[in-house]
Amino acid sequence: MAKTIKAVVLGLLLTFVTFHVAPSIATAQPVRGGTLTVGLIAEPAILDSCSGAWNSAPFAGNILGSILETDENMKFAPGLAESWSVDPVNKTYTFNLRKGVKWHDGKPFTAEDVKFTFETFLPTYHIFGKYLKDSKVDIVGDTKVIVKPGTWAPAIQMGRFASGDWGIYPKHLLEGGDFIKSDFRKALVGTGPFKFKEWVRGSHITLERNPDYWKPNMPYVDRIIFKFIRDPSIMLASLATGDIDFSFRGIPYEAYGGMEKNPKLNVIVNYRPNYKVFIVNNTKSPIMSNVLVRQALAHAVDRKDIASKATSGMCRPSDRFFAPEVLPDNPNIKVYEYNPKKAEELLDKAGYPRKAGGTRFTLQLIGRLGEADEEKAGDLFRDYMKAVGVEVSIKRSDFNTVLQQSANYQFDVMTFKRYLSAHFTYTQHHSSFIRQGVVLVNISQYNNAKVDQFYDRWIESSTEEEQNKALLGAETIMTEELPELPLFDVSWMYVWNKRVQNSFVPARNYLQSEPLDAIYVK
Amino acid sequence: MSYLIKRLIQIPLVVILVVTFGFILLKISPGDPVSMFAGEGSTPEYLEMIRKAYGLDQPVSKQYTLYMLGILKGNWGHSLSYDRPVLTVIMERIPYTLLLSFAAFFIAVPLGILLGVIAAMRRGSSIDSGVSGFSTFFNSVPAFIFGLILLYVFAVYLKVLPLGGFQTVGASFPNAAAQLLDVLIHLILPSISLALIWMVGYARVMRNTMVEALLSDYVRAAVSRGISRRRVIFRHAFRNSILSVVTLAGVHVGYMIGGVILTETVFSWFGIGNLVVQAVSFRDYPLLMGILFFSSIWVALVNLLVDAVYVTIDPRVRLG
Repeated sequence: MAKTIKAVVLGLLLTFVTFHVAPSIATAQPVRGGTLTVGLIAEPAILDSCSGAWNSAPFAGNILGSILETDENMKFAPGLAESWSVDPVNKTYTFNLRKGVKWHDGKPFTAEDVKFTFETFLPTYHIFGKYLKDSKVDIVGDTKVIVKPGTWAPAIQMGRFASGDWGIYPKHLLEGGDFIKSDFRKALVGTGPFKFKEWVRGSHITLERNPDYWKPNMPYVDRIIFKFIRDPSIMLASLATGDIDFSFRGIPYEAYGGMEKNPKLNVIVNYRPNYKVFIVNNTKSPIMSNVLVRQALAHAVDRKDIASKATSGMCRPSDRFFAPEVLPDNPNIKVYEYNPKKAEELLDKAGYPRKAGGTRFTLQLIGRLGEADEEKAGDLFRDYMKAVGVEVSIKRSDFNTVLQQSANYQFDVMTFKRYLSAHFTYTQHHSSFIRQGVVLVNISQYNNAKVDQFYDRWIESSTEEEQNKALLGAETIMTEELPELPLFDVSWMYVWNKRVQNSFVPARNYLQSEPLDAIYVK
Repeated sequence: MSYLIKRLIQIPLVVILVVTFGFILLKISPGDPVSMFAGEGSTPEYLEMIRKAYGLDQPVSKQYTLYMLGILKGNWGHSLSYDRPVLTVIMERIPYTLLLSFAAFFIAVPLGILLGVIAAMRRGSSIDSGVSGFSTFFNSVPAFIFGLILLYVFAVYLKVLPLGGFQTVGASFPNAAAQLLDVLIHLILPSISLALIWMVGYARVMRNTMVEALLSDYVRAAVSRGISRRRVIFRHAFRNSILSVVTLAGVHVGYMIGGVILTETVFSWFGIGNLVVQAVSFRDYPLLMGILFFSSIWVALVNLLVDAVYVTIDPRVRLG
């Protein structure tokens, strides 16, 4: 809350600042050189993202290099592999590797590195390494590799291949070592567009241009400096003064007006990467295990109002479990219109009539501090519940505490803003992810055999059409049963200084893990 | 003197008690450092691997014993979030916090005393009211708001001072003097921000104790003996009043770490206060314990120093 107040105060102050800068004109030809300064709201603990470590994605994405990439239309594109093919019959992937690629330490990148990464390294150390467990990688000639994973899961595996998340790791530096305690995690060596240069703890990380990068003439900037700016108000001021060129997280919605008026800045509001704020229902808690109660609560809230008030009108209300950018429209979902009367009828039917004093029951809501949209959504949810006779007791804690509370199911309902990729959504709803004590997997303890089957079918499907069909099937059931109550899709403010050209919005990857190789500065 | 020796002997016992209490408190508080270190979606096997690598799989009693034995050998543990020895992480921050605190201290103390003395000597005048109003204002404005206003005026609007941080990021310095100058320029706003908040405390305390002293019998007696007003004020009233300022200064220096958290956060200053926030958010228990250990030693030593100053300044004080 204090952070929000500070940001709003500074946002208001900045509204009065007048800048006399000519509007930027994009130059057609990219310019080589210069420094791009990025503001990050939090400092990572390590740079390697294979443990899923918070805030490491921008570094791994720019340094490591992946076998495939994702283009701006969210389609797979060549990476360290020039071409690839998927063989659903033999359940293999074939990658034709690029020649002449070098690691940042000058050693040649080879098919042995790919074999090491997919057979040994990622299955051991990556949080989703189980999708490569028991993989067999055959090297054919110098540059062709055929990957036969132990588990055939193209829906998950292809997405991972095409992101910095499953980067390719150098065999010559990591084989036989204790990776968990190695310095490599703090000073990555990869084949990506930027090399690690320095990390001044508490201040910044500097990456410098890789002159041997395989994309011709790229990257354009000489270095990227990631500055850690914990305070949103200082982030806003840094953007306004030009101290940083780019920030994408940690800017409160209230600051939008002030930012947009600043002629030095280019503010892009976009829903990618796709996140949604949910009320997570603990489907095993005594009251919330009743599906009629879950449906009643869905009728009791006005999503449009919540989305508007919680985000200063910057986000869109949602009835779905996926985002329209991720999955096509689903005509079969159950939509819960705002109807308090119907909510009360359902609660009566569920066996929870209003008692003397008008209250039916009390729910424990948990949520984290420091996420203004989640906090406001929780407060509004409580108000809507009160109107239908449901008391909501809110308990807010820091993120780590909430992670533990949710992993141990110590709640009835929880406000939660989460990633909407099919894979992450799968980990929230498939019964195999009910794992007490493990954070952020199926915290609603949802268990439906049909939904499991749809997700299992999705995993094994090799075409987008089949994958979408399976996900739509799962979504239809989930809107009936509501393991989570969708509230609104989260928009993000990408704020770029206008001197930065080719600015873009991340296509599909989690939290800006895409390389900034096409960016250039004037 | 025997009192000071006794206090010196008590220090290790106090520190051990504080560290033990802190250790228990951290262990029973909610949150798991491994989940923050590992990240979301980690498998139980992966979490176990991390836990084992950092000795967090051991029973709490064993962790405590190992920690205390480590402290005796000068090993303060290994920071989870920085993946480096705790002592190294703390020691690289200490100079920056000391620099900020003492810069603020050396602005706040003389100015605070001066304002307090002037207000006391002109009790009831418009100057006294002005100092009182000034104190009330700076006491009421939250530290972060005041810091933000300074940043807005000097860094955003006038653009004469840097926008937080402790050095110009990405700059190359021709020599150490240039680098030091850069740090000092970055120090201006946070030290003024902190100093103004501290200063009003000194001014108020000095004014009140000085007024009390000026109305006391010994001052009246001195005046009636014909001693000059200047001599009465500075040799008698001032000397007695300064003890309360020493006490407050001891509090400020002793609780330096807690006192600078907000200022260091707003100005992104590379100090211990900022480190505390990071350690808490990452549930970096070894680092938090290290900060607690350092802080308890620091508070104990500063208190001892304040007692020693008491004895020196005021011979009436009979300690022990």
